[in-house]
Amino acid sequence: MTDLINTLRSVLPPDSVQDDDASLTAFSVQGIRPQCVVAPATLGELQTVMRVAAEQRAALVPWGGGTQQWIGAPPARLDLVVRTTRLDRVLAHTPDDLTISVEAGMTLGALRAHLKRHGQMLALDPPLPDRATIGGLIATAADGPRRLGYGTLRDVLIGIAVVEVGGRLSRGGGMVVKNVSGFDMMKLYLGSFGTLAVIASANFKLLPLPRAAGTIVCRFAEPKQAFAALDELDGTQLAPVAAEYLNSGALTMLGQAGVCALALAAEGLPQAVERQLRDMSALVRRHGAQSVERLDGDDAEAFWAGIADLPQTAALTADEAVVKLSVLPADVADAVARCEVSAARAGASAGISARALNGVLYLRVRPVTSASLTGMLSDLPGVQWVATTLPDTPRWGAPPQGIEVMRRIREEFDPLRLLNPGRFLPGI
Amino acid sequence: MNRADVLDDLRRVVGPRAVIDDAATLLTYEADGCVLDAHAPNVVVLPATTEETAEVVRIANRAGMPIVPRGAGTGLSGGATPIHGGMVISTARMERVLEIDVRNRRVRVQPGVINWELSQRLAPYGYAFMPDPSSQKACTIGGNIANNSGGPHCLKYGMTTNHVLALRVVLPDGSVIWTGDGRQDGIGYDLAGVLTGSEGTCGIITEAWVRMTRLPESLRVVLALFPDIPSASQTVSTVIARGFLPAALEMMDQLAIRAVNGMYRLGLPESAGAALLIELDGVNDGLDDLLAEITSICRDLGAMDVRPAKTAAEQAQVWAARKNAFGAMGRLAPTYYLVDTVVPRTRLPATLARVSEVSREYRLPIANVFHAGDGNLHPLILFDRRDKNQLERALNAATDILRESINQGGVISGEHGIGVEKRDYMDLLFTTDDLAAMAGLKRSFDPREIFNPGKIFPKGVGCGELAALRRRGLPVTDLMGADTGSAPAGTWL
Repeated sequence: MTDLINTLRSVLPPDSVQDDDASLTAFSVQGIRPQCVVAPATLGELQTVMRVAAEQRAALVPWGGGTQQWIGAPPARLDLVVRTTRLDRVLAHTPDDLTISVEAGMTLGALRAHLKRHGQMLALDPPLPDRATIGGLIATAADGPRRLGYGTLRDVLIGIAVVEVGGRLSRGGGMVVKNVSGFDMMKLYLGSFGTLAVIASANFKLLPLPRAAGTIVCRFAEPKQAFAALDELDGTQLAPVAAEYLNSGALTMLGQAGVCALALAAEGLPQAVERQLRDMSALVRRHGAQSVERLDGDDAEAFWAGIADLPQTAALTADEAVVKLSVLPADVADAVARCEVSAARAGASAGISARALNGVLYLRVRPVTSASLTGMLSDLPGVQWVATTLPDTPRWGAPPQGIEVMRRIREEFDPLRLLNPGRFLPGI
Repeated sequence: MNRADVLDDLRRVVGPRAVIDDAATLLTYEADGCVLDAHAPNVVVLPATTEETAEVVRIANRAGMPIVPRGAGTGLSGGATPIHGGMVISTARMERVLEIDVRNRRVRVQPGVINWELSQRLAPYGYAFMPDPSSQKACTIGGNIANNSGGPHCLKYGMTTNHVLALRVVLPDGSVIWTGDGRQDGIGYDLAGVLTGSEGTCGIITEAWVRMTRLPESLRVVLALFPDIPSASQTVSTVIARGFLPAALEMMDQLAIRAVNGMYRLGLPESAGAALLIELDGVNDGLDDLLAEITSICRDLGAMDVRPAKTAAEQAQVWAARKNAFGAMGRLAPTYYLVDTVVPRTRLPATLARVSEVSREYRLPIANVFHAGDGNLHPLILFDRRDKNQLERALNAATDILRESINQGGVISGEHGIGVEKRDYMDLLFTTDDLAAMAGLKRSFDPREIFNPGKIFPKGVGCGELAALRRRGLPVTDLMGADTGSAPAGTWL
């Protein structure tokens, strides 16, 4: 692979190509060291890297903040880590249009800070925003608790530019909030885990920062009371922006005690926020909530940041796993119970945070072994992905229908199998 | 396969009455709402189930026929026009709501269910299917999904794609998949996401899980009248920029006001140059204050009058005027050409100014009825299509408007799709590499280009050639299953 390194050095500024021991260790992917780490500083340089990668048949892993590299399987081959960190600019932002275009290596935290100065927000709250990059969040379709009110990346991504293997730049969408000009390429790259192209930049629709916000944390003695409250809440015309179920393990991770809790947030007009918190407090009390604690301002923000970080996969201990599950909202209570039972059977503790009205759960378990984790996973409903440092465990849930089409998409977009080879669903 | 055998096979699968092959009836399938490039199909088939649809697709494959899926035929870009002939598969007999799952906020429908009827079915539960195209009393959910349709309430609630959870699709080879089961997050590539808006070029939808959305507790509707288009469009821009998110923000210009006034007895002053319809919704608390703030912006920016629609009946009347405005155009001219285009919202005033210029340059009246809050313009070029010269001027005027919207940073369709109508504008907006990526996606579903050939991509540009471009420069010997692109399906018989 000296050819790869030499070729890259001959076409890029020398400081953008690293092959020293420290770099190769720092940018190992699930314990596998690359031959070389490259950090293009411009779109043109990224295209050059992708052209060289194709010429040299270099297997590569795109790397944003590196916070989610433990999700999915280890790479089958790895020659090159392509960092996007230097592609961190705002490309276009006309505040009055409520749209923005940013490079993929910008962190969500930096983007939030930029937008806050304009009284705006990108309504996303995934884990580790100060490290996670836009490109990485798109590649993994990361989500956060406020998806209940604001939707996910799927709903706010309005344009995308990617660089394909070979160096070709292609774009989809645009800088408008409504667009059916051609295929919806944003949906293709979103959640494709870096197997189709490297994301170079993305366009989003924005929202104004809400005028008011408030949170209540409702503690229950029994999970069934909490789920009964959620059932009723779902049928009302109240519009919480987040409704997170936290089990005992998750509360412990947040430094709190209790059997389980619901964290409910309302945002919007001040009167509407007060009314919603009042009605939701009354509702949970009717279902037996032991306590209802109101949080505002920085306290609320810190609390939600803690919840958002619960499923982080950047720092995993050697005996730990994080599992994402997706079930129907009505099945969340059952899914939580099954997670807890199977973790207990494996002698592990389970921290569960569930976007309960979306049907999305995150389970953090430890201590587990490869064998006990594998056993657990076979008991769990709706497994999506597994993040762990343990070898020889399943990393993805059951293959979906349409896997044959997915395989053909992969073949069309990455015919040389150079992008994250072996890491995504088996068969794709 | 000869014609008689194909027809026999089709009749055996769907029954004799569900196969149409007489010339007179076939003519009624020659176009959708876009009458450019009309072309009759060779046969129309109306399967009643997914299984029948799959069998019909396999028969078409054996006969080498292109397939064009069709819902209600209300599309405005020629998406359902069989420009190369072949088989039209109509979803008209698949019109049942199969399952309403309130707790999981999902509803399973067949593709031929009418948009409006679905919301009527959900209303007793307190829910609706939010995408609401103006044609909602006729258009189907399958067509909405194929076109990723919009409507006035997209401003707050998103396009059809934001409401699709999973699709059951008959793929071009006749195989059938469900892309999911209504869970919000899937695994693998987002096939439902890329199929939505693919205009029937990747397969045919035979069932769908779509979201049902809780109806808001409260809503307010006002109509603000302005002396001219610039003051009204500046108001739209300001309302959005100040961070309000109305449920809908719709504009009509003077020509449109005159047309709907007569029809709906709104009593609007015909001296008004523009009317803005503003709807707010949500929990009741604070909604009146919000309305007062927006009303105050309207007045500051020159509104002559701001009229709240207080009762449900008044609100329905205002909305009926907006949704039927296109129909009211018949009072002004024999034909209109509706140009669907989108610009960034701050560019609305400049783009509308250019639309007025275009109207003067081509000596054709242009009315504007559109989704202002999204920046989604709908200039209606009024003309008489029997007059060849007027037709040519109308088409040229449309081209100028589309070019202007690209110049303003916009795109060429906000909600009607590309179809045949706008395929030759695609390369104004996208590079060859952009189109090649789209072609690669299309060919992943439909390598033989059987489904809806000739749509979306510029005329004469084959998906096969475009997709092959992407492999150029790659070390070809390593490619798996590399092919140079097979010929598109030929015209049948």
